[in-house]
Formats: sequence, structure tokens, C-alpha cells
Amino acid sequence: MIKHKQFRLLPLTAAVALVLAGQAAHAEDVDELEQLIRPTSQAAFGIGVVSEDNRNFGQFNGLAEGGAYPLVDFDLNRRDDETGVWTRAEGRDLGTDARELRFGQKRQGGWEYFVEYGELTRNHPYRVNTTLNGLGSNQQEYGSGQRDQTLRLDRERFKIGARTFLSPEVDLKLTYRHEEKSGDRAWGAQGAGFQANFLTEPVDYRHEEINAVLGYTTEKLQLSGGYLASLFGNQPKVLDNTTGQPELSLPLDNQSHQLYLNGGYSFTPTTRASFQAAYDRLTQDDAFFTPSDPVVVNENNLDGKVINTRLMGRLTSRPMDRLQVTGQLRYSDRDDRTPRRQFVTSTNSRRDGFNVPHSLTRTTGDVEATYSLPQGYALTAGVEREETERSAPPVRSTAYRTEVDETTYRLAVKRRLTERLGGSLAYLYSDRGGSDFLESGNDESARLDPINLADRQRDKVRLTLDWLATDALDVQLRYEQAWDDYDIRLYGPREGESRFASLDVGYRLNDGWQLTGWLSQDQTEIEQITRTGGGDLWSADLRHKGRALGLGLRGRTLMGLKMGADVQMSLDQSKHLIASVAGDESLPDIFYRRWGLTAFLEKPLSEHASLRLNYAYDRLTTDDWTWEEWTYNDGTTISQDRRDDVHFVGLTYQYRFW
Amino acid sequence: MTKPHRLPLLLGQALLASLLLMFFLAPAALAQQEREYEDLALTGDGACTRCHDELEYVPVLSIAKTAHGTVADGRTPTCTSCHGASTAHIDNPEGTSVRPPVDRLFGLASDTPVHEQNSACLDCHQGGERIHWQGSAHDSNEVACASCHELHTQDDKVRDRQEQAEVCFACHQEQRMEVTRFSRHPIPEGKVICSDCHNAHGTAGPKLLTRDSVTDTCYQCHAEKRGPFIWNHQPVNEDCSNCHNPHGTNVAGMLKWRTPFLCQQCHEPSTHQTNIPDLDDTRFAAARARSCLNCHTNIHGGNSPTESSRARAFFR
Repeated sequence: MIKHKQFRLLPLTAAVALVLAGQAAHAEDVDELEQLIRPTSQAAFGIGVVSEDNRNFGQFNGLAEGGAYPLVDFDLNRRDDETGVWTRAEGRDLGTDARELRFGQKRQGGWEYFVEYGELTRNHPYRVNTTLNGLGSNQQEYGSGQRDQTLRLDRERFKIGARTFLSPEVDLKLTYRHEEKSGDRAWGAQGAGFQANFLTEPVDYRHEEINAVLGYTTEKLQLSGGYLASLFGNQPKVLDNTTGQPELSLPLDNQSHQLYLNGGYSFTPTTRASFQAAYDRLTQDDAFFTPSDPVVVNENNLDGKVINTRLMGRLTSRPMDRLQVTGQLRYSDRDDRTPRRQFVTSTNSRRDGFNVPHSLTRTTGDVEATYSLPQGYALTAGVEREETERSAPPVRSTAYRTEVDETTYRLAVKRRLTERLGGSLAYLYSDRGGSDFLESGNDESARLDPINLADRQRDKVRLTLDWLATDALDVQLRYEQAWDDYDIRLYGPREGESRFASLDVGYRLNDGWQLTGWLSQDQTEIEQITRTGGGDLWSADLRHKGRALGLGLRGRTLMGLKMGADVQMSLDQSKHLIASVAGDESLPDIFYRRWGLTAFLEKPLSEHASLRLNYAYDRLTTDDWTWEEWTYNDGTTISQDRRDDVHFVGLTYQYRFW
Repeated sequence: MTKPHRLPLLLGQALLASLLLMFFLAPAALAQQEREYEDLALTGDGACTRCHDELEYVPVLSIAKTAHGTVADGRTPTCTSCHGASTAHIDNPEGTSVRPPVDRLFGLASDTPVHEQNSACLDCHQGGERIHWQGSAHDSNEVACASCHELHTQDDKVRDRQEQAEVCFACHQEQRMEVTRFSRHPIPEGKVICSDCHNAHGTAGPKLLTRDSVTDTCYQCHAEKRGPFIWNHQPVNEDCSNCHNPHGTNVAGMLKWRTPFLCQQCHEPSTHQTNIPDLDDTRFAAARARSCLNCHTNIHGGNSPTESSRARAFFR
């Protein structure tokens, strides 16, 4: 039986059906030339069947439940050749919870408007078994009976926009986006005896975005400036649990208002400057919830205010035919003007109880030159310097650096794809350092350099190769490797390494058939060292290795059947090696293996119509132990399927017209 | 009962339905337009289309299905606007064994320098979102517009939400692997696409992001993380990618590493912060479930105004 919930957008579905009926009724035979030069429209109706309930394949595509789904898609295009007015209506996945619909009209160089509507559901990939009642609301309590719960987040989006050319040089563009997000997310909180309780985060968000852009475009000068507002609202401000759990705060309403100007000026055909200036004011002054615990701050809201200022200037030039030079300076300042107040009076060496406004200034300069050599070769050299300055809380629980700077040098030799062979070899070296660390309130023997602030030297090589072996065969090779060497004082990250290799091959068997294949592997590793609170030294060597391959076939048989198939396989393995004074305390490895097949077969029925059969198979297997043998203090368990198999078969009638 | 804040969504649905009906059900609007094509498609294309019909090695006519084939728009280019006058190619002088190419040839095998290929596009498309093209990562790496865009077809893959990623993955193979991992954005489904976060035509900010920073780009969909909060978490304010890989990982929440290892990359030994992760522990060394986040649940920032040190540590 087709799922009735797929039709909850009845007005839109009815409109779509009427539109398609109207279009098809008026589709006329057009001559061969018209078919080649008139915009094509197409629509597809059919039915699809998902073999069973699934957690991964249907996580985002609206096909999480086993059963039948209506398949409705269309892409209608019409152009009035006399006026140049385009009309376009597009609908995708209309039979599922991932539906999208758009209508728009435009006269090129004159005006344009559009209306969009979209839904997106994210199904939680785990099974939740809990006694918790009130999921999705901000009043949750533990009951007596364990039962399975399905968590999901639904997004619903509406967008409208218009653009008009006030003159050949000046255009005005306005857009408004309204998005609702609702549902529940797996969450939790500390309960009695420092044991974790299961809760869900109730989500009832509203996000509106308004953008007004005025553009000015001439041959030499282009400007684009405007106003961007982003308004976020949340219905519940606090999650209550009537079984003794302290209240949990939820996101408060916040707003961002930005004024910006982008510009570019071409001094000559070979020399150009561009710039950006932006001013952004963020506020968060929504009222706090009224807690059951004592409160020492008299204000009922944070009065949060952050001013962001961004400036960028770039100059590119080709002073001689063989030389291109680019210089760029970028300045970004986050000035957190939120007043500091002492919310918590009990203090210690790591916290003073004040809120923690965070300001940051980052300046980045970059210069790069590329010189063209004979036979298609080019040599590139560049240097980038980034300086970051940030505010620091007076009392800290981690080490802190107010200034961090990093300089990156790069050198590359490239060869354009001429005479069937091209590629590049690049080497990058970067050195990160900064001001003296501001120590935390912890004991001196606990010094740990945070990974994003620690001194680091990075070497990186990158090799690419593009080879058109024959007119029918092309090959691409990519290889990258990077080594990170951290210079830490006592504890923190020590070394890191990443590797990536990929081989892509495309082969045209003949005019009708094409074969593609790729094979990729990545590997990331980091070694970090620390000690326990009791003083026992230990280190972790974390490794991730992924391998994946894909094969694709597209073609047309002698009988005119169009067909295609894609196979994709991947295997990811994670290792968590731990060495301590007690010996090897490594955690078990984890693997994820995915196997996917998609295939289609399309049989033409007439000049306008065809029948298309789609098939998909998806299998995910894993031995992830994250939720195994874990029971929350309240009795909730969460489980992940060790194997998730699903088949999908769809049959659609496709109609094409001009 | 309908919530008041849902009103824009309901109005939007009604508006969209009305527009669809109004414009596509009027029979008169669908009358086949009578017109004669002196040239087959574009003004002055006869010199080209006398050879290049759809059966020829280089078919060109489908460009008429696109914005570039809208002849009513006086700005629409002709064949020679992009490919140059190409008289040698058209005349094919005697004594040449192979017909000379057009003056400006696009594509992988072209001898035309990339910046010259791109100037044909930028002559008209330099404004708006392409203001910062020159000097951008793609420009510096000599990526031609025609490397990503197909001009002679109605369905330019890179502008189609379902197919765009396939174009980007032709060069960005690492991301092709990452988007299939367990925890990811709906990129393979075409519900979040590369251009939602990146402007491939160049930006003023880092990593070709559509907004001026990593955080601002993420706030487009995750505005609840913007704050500011009473209890801010410094790496969260600075850069979401300190902890997350937005293209996908096998750790829930697209985390780069599992907790507690991820948290232990910054947090010092004090009480329990650097305990050795233990599968059997359910409190201060928990490696299972959400680990550190079992208790530090508001890790992106908290708004609890209570007189409780737990609020400071993102418990509440």
C-alpha cells in the first residue's frame, strides 16, 4: 500500500498533476530541427518499492520505510522566442519526504522571479529503546514501559526571490528564505551518581534569511553590495525533566545583520583588483529560562553582541605573457562586545564563573607567482602568512595562546595537458607558532598544547597526472601525503600523517558504450600523548584507513535500450591503539563496509515516451561498538544494525516533449 | 491548529500551487510558436551549422536550448563571440592536410590558453558571484570554465543539483570517498550540494566558501550554533572544522575522531579529562555511547544562567 503520509501536501500534488496533464495535452509533434533547438521538458510518473525498513539507505531520501512510494518528477521548460521569457517548473522526489518544487519565470536581462518549496527528513540511523515520554517536546519524563522510538528531524523550506534590471548595468536581487526544522535528536545529561541519562533534544527551529543585493556591472567595474539578515528563532528555551534531572538550556533566538560590498576593477585586460568589505552585527538578547536553581545575575538575558568586520583586497596581474602574479590581503575581526557577568560564584583556579566572550582577529596575506616555461610547463611559487590574535579568559581550564601565526611556502611545477600528458608536482611547507602559552589553572605537570594552537611543522607533497592514452582512454592519478610534526612542551599531539591516492580511468568502448572506474585510498594517523589525572603517562595512536572503488557503465543497445549501472564498494577501518604504563589498552578496531549497486534500463516507446526501470541495492555492515552493551542510567538502550540491506525497484513512465 | 510561525510556509505552498496552475494550464500559452529560422539557431550561425549539425563530430545545435540560445535577448552571443571569427577554420585553405581549429577552442585538448578561454566567458559573466574569480584557487590552478560547464547542452551537469557533485568529484576525489561514509550530509541524494557551501567562481573568504568564514557558512543551516552563548566553547566559535569534517566520517556527528580522543587533543589532565578510554566504564572514562558528551551535552555552547558550575562546563 502506498504510504498515505506522502500525500500530506495534497494541494501541491494536485497542482503538479494538473500541470502535467495540461502540458501533455498540448504537446505537439515538432520537426526534427525544433527538437534540437527548442528547450525540452520531461516528466516521470511511476511507483517504487523499498524492500524493508532501513536505517542508512533511507536516512535522507525519504525511503526509510519498506513499502511502495509514488515516484513523480518533472522538469518543464518553455521559452517564448519572441520575448525571450523563460518559464520553468521543476519537481523532484514528489512522492517522498524529500520533495522539492520550484517555479520561476525570467526574461533574460530584464526580470526574474521564482518560488521554491522543499522538505527534507533526516531519519536517526540508530534504534532507540526507552521509557522516556514526551520525545520532541520540552517536557520529558521517564515512564515504566520500554518501547522502540524513532527519532527524526524534518526540515521544511520556502524560498522566494526576484531580480530586476534597473538599467543594463544595474540589477536588484531580493530573496527571502523561511525554514522550519522540527523533531528530536538523541541527547543526554548527567544523572545521579555521574551516570548518563538519555534525553532527546526537542527541535522546533525557525530560520529566516533576507538578502537584498544591488549589482553594478560594466566592462571594467563590477560592484555587488547588499544587506543580509539571518533571523533564528527557537520555541522551547529549556528542556524540563520531571524526574529530577536539572533543566537543560536550549538555543535562544539570535540574529545577524550584515552589510557587504564586493567589487572588482579591471585596469587592463591583464590586471585586475577585487575587494570585499563586510560589517556584521550579531545579537542574542532572548530571555533566559527561569531556572529552579539559584541565579545570581539580575539580568534576564545575555545582551550578547558580536561585531564582525571583514576586509579583503586582491590584485592579479599578468605583467608579461609568461608571468602571472597574485597578491591578497584578508582581515577578519570578531569583536565580542557581550558584557561579562559572574553567573557562578563558586570559583577555582580553572574557572571564575564569568561568561566567556570570545574575540578574534585574523590577518592573512598571500603572494603567488606563476611563470610559464616552454613545452607547456609552468613554475609556481607562493607564500602565505596568517596571524591570529584572540582574547583569552582571565582564568582557564586549558592552556591558551592569544597569538598564533603560520607561514606556508609552496612550490609547484605543472605541465598543461598537451600532447596527451599533463600533471603537476607540488611541495608545501608550513610552520605554525605563536606567543607564549597562557597556562591553565591546572598543575604545572599537566601542560597540554591544544591541537589547534600547538607549534607545528607540516610538509606536504601533491602529485597529479592526467593522461589521454588514446582517444578512447583517459587516466587520472592523484597522490597526496602530508606529515605533521608538533613541537609540544609536555603533552598534546606529537605527530600526524595523511595519505591519499586515487586512480580514475574512463574508457569509451565505442560510440554507444562508456566504462568508468576509480580506486581511492586514504589514510590518516595522529599520535597524541597525555597522562591521567593520577599521573600515569599514556599515548594514543589513532588511525583511519579507507579504501573505495567505483565502476560505471553507460550505453545503448542495438534495440535502442538505454542502460547503465554503477557499483560502489568501500571499506573503512579505524584503529585506536593505546599504550600506557599498564601495557596495551587499545580499544577494538571498527570497520564500516558499504556495497552499493544502482542500475537502470530505459526502453523507448515512442518519440515522446519511454519506460524506465531503476534498481538500487545498498548494504552497510559494521562492527562499531559505540552503543553495544551500553545502557543509560534510565534503562534506555540504543542499537545500530550490524548489517543493513535494502533493495529498491522503481518503474516509471517518462514523457518528453518540446 | 496551525502555528503562527508556519504561516509563511503555508502561504508559500499556496503561492507556488497558484503559479503552477496559472502559467501551465492556459492553452493559449502553449500554442506552438511560429517562427522561421534564417539561421538554424543563433544569429549568424549559418557558417557553422552548415557543417556542425547534430550528426557531426562536434554537434552544436543544442546550445539553442540554453540561455545562450535565447536570441530575443540582445546580449546573446553568436558562435564567433566565443570561438572567434575563425576564418581559417571556415575557409579551410587549400594545402592544409587538417582543417585549422577555430580561433578559440574550449576543452581538455585545446591549445588556447586557459585564461583566454575563460575571458570569453568573463567578458559577459564577470559580475555578481564571479567578481572574485581572478586569483581564486580554481583560476590559479588553470581550471577552465569549460572544464566544469557544458555550454552546448540544455542539461549542464554542474548546475543540476542531482549531478553537480559528480562534476566536482572528477577532481576532488577525496571528498568522493568521504560523502559515502556513515555520518555525512545528504550530498549523494543531492539535498545538500557542493555549491550550497562553496562558490567555485571565487570568494573573498577562505576555501571558496559561500560565506565569509567556515562558521558563517555552517550557520546558513545551523543558525542555532551561532550564539553568542553565556558559555562559549572557543574552538566552536572559531572554526567548526576544528572538530568536524563536513564531507563525512564514520563517527557520529561527522567528528574527525571519536570522543574522548578528540576532546583530549585540547583538554589537560586534571580530574577525569584524560582518563584512558575504557569500554567497561560508564562514567569518567566512557568510550562507548557519547563518551564525554554523555554529560557535557551542550558542547556547542550553553545558555543556562544558573548558579551552577555544571553550566560552565556545558552540562546544561
